[in-house]
Amino acid sequence: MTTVIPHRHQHPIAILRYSFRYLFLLSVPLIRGIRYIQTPQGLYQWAQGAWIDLLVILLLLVLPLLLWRGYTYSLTDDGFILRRGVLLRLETVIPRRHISTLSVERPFYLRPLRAARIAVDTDAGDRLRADFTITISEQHAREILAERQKNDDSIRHYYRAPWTHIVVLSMLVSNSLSGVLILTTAFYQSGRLLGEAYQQQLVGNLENAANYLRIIPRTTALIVLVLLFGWGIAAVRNLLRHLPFCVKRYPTLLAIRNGAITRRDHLCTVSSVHYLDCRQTILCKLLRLSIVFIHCIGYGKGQDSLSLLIPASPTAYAKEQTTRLLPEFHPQAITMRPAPRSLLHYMVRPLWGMLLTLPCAHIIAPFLPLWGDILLHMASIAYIPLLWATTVKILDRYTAGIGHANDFVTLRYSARLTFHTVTVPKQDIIACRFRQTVFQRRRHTGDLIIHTYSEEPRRHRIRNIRETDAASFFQHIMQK
Amino acid sequence: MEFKQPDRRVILCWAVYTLCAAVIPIVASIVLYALPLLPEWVSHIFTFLWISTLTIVLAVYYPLRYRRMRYAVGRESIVTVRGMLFSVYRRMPLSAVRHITTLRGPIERMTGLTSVLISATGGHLLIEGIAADEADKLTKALL
Repeated sequence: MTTVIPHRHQHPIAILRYSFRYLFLLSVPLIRGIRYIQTPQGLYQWAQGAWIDLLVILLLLVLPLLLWRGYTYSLTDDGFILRRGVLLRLETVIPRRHISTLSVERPFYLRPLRAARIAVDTDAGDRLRADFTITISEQHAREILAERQKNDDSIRHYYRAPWTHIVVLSMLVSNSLSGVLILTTAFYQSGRLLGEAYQQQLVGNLENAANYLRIIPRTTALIVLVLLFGWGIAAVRNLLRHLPFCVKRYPTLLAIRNGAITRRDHLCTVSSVHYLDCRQTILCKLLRLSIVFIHCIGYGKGQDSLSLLIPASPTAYAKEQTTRLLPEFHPQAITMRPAPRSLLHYMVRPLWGMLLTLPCAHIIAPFLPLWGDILLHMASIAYIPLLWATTVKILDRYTAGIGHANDFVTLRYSARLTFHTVTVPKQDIIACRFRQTVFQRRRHTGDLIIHTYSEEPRRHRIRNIRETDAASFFQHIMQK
Repeated sequence: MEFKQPDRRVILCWAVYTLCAAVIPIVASIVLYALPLLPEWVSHIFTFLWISTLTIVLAVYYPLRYRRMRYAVGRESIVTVRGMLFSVYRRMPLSAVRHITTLRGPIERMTGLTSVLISATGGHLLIEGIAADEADKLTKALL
């Protein structure tokens, strides 16, 4: 075993991160201070026990330093070796061939310190976090990236996303809720910092804006405006997160780079890409756009991260770029479609929502006199997403299906409000279920639920497939 | 596949850690006896309960638990058996192993033992009480 990078400590800034774990110790001097400082006699007692406060401060300085000293990493020909811990010493060995994604992140606040954050992930471990994340110097991060790409440095294809595609992507994938949370926090903090008068002014401006939407009730207009602002903030956030975006294909690696304020580099092992997912919303279908994602464990794992391969692009262009970046994946033509007379089965859930929402709101409203009007307004607004969902399900009925030939399977279905076209190698299908309701059993149809290889449960559901088609699909999957 | 048993000194490690954890009920008993917060019989019962539990754990549970523990490394899989009341037999394919962590606390370092945590897609296995050189061989064999 040859050592490529000898055992090193993390960047000293990591000491600060460890010290956050022990901030709770500050409660000891705080409680002592609050207890004794109220009376003149208390001041003398507080001074007598000041050694306790000094001990706490010493612990706050020493414990993070000990943790930092105890954490080392090295890179050998075989893989990463991590050693950490003070009392309980741990040593983790991660072979190179098992690394699915290696990510390097350079946030703006670490760049002046010439530091970067590296995350390494394999198929095992926590599904929400990378297997290990360390903060190291930029130079060492570059060495690790170069070492990972050794013997794999000829570029087969280079794709750079036009900025317009990123703008459209940000508008399509942004979540109003996350933006509203940011807006609420900013509003609250601005009141604390700048005073209540400023907060009142903001509320006043919002109400003036709501007055322009006279055609809808005022409360509804306020909610719509808050959601719009939230969506706008989320869109700007996504734009800054993904612009610029480029992908390079090497023989065995995909190198993805994105972000301007926080620069991110991801090295994904091609053999660890378990499926491609081409997604469209109704708007995308109308505009003939597609967004392509890949499922590679470790890529797209952070909060608000997307495992993006091709941002919102014309469908033909997206297919062409996907074929050049991942020629190993062969989408199959759809050969199995839902059984005839399946439309009701597809529409049943949003239809129930549309039938029950307003009557339920009318029943509940008299019991909540203060909130009754708002509840009825919200129930009326809820018809918009329900109608949207119904339209998606109707379209899904006529586009869904399964294609399987050779070693690949293509699944087309909708989940929530998005259409998915998933191309997955047969070997990455780990389980299939055929689920029938009482009504489906009489018609010899059922829902085919396919589970694909992943750290967390990933399932793809195609509704109302014939029993015979499902049987032939099972047979195809079982063949080696 | 030949089953092996971990080193017997692992019982010593468990016992020492349990005795360290027993500081909490000891302090609780001292507080209960020193401060008249509850009736005396409550203190007696609490003290009796934790001492008897500790005795049963050290004298009966740990030796029996050790007797049930086994592990074996085959060509295609690794198997562990553990459990006192309910035997748990776990088999993990070697092809699913992704990384291995060795753990050594202060008592393990004194006794020359190691615990090995094998992480694989979908779960992990823990083998306690292996000698350090045996753990190195196991890590190389699995990876």
